[in-house]
Amino acid sequence: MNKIVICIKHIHNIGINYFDLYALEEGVQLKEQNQDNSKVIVFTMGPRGSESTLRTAISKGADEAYLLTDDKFFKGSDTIATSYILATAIKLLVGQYKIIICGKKTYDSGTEQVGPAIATMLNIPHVSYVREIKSINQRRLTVERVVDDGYETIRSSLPVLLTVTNGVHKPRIASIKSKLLARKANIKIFNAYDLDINTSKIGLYGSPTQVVSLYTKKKKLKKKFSGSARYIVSSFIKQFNNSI
Amino acid sequence: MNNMSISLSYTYKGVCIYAEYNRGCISTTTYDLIHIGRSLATKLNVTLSVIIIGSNINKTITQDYINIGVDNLYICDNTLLYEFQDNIYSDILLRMIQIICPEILIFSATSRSIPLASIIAAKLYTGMTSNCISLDIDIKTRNLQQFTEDMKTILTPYHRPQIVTLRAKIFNKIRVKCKANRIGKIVKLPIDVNNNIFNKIKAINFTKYKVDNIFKDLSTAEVIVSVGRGVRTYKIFQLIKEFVMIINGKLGASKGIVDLGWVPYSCQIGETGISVNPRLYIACGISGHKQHTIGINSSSTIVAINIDPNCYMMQIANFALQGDLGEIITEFIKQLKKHN
Ligand SMILES: Cc1cc2nc3c(=O)[nH]c(=O)nc-3n(C[C@H](O)[C@H](O)[C@H](O)COP(=O)(O)OP(=O)(O)OC[C@H]3O[C@@H](n4cnc5c(N)ncnc54)[C@H](O)[C@@H]3O)c2cc1C
Repeated sequence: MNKIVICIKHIHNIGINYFDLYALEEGVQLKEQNQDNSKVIVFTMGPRGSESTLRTAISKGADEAYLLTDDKFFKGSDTIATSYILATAIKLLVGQYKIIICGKKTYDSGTEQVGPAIATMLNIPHVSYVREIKSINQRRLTVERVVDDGYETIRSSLPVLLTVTNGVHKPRIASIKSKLLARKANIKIFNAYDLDINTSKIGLYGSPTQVVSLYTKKKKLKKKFSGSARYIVSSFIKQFNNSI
Repeated sequence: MNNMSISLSYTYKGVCIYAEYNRGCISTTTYDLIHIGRSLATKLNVTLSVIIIGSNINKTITQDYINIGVDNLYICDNTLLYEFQDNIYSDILLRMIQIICPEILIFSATSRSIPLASIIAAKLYTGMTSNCISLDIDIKTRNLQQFTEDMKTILTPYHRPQIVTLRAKIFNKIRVKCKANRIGKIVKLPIDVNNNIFNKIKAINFTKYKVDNIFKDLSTAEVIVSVGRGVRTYKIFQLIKEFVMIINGKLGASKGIVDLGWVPYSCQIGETGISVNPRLYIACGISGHKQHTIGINSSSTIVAINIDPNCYMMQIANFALQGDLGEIITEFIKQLKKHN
């Protein structure tokens, strides 16, 4: 059986992270194209409330859902620690897989690191910012990705991890029936102990980065420039560059 | 924790920059990074190193970098490394970092360097902050203060190196002090051609954006230049497109310009068009009717260019540039090109 793993994030008061919808859609489409009893498995690490996001994923075509939650040890994990928790869970609970798909970034913190970090910890290659899977067989795939100055086509062996952007496949809308079914679906819940994870590397105290303060935005700037075009442009650039 | 931080400050020293090199070209953000890295290294009283990985690395840039303040250059140059490939470059980069042992490692926040930095952070299990907008140093603890766009200050207190990706300046005009024939060290590293990653992944094609790409994906764009009826002529409109390309932005428009057919409807911003939330919104000759401004409310910074200082757009702008649009855009192109 081909296992397709999707990592998604629940965002407080919003639900599933925007780019993760595209990750899920890409995974479900792969399953539907292949017809070879592939299975879409979704993972999320977060508070108990993230369960609703897993149900959303099931209503949109996921087969199995895992919630990694632990108020004592997982809470406060930064991106590297989160990647470590997800990688550990995938290794333990899925074992062999064909592909892992993540959204390119999250809307609340947007670090863009989780995908490549999970791939590194699982020792597989990855491709970031994928907009389309061009072809895939049992051994390898070809994808197109978006970079700052153009599009790049990459060929990779499998298994591989992809992070996807809002690409060619629009996320589907779940039917009422599948929403009802998802409500009753079984969500598997795991904590740090179940995963046998090294707790000194995660959580508020184990995470390498620490948020020390939130600085308040300087009072909204209001600057006026007039005079010769040359003066306007050079003084604007100087002040603009100094303002951030 | 205390023991850990003491041993850290002995083993890891210096500031290191990764200079992105792809398909024979150095990234234009490198000067920016060297400028910032130099000032951090001077404050910490340590050396500044730069790492370049690629193919056919230009000899003149290496001396240039030394002249503007780089102490050590670590270079890996091989035709197999012509295309940037993060999965492949990461092994080489990791080896270099193990030699250099820097306390700070800075990448540019681009679509190529962010994933590469993430691999390194994961391999070393150290902290990484993406998309920093500025950096500072606490001399006493030697901790790097990492300021992010969403107003956070982040530290990596007990792990080294402290990894960051730094956003490029939108209007890149930094001039760095230069000293001719400054002395620096150049270290060349070979690659391991037998590494089986070469069989696993390969970039097989690259298509550079064409001009019409500036009309795409406005809703997620970070920098938007928007044109209104104040543009007056098609010639000035073409200049604005050139300006958009230089600052890597996207092009939006008011209804009036969409009605003229110069810009597709998908780029119309406002009540009957789309809403955008860029970091920077530059309104060129747009008066600021409510039907337009309703689409730009969540922009972080608004710049207005307009001949009329009293129009609504100039009132709400954070930076109001009063003058003739054609003249100001021509001047922007002139000043920004001079540098690049
Ligand atoms: C139902 C409805 C829906 C609408 N929906 C939208 C919408 O979605 N989006 C939208 O944009 N509009 C919309 N409009 C139209 C809107 O009301 C305004 O008419 C339109 O936004 C004005 O566009 P403008 O600012 O480009 O032009 P104008 O209002 O004509 O402003 C031109 C500006 O250019 C300046 N200017 C002139 N010459 C120069 C020069 N040489 N150098 C510098 N500046 C110069 C002027 O000072 C002026 O401020 C809608 C209208 C209606 C009725």
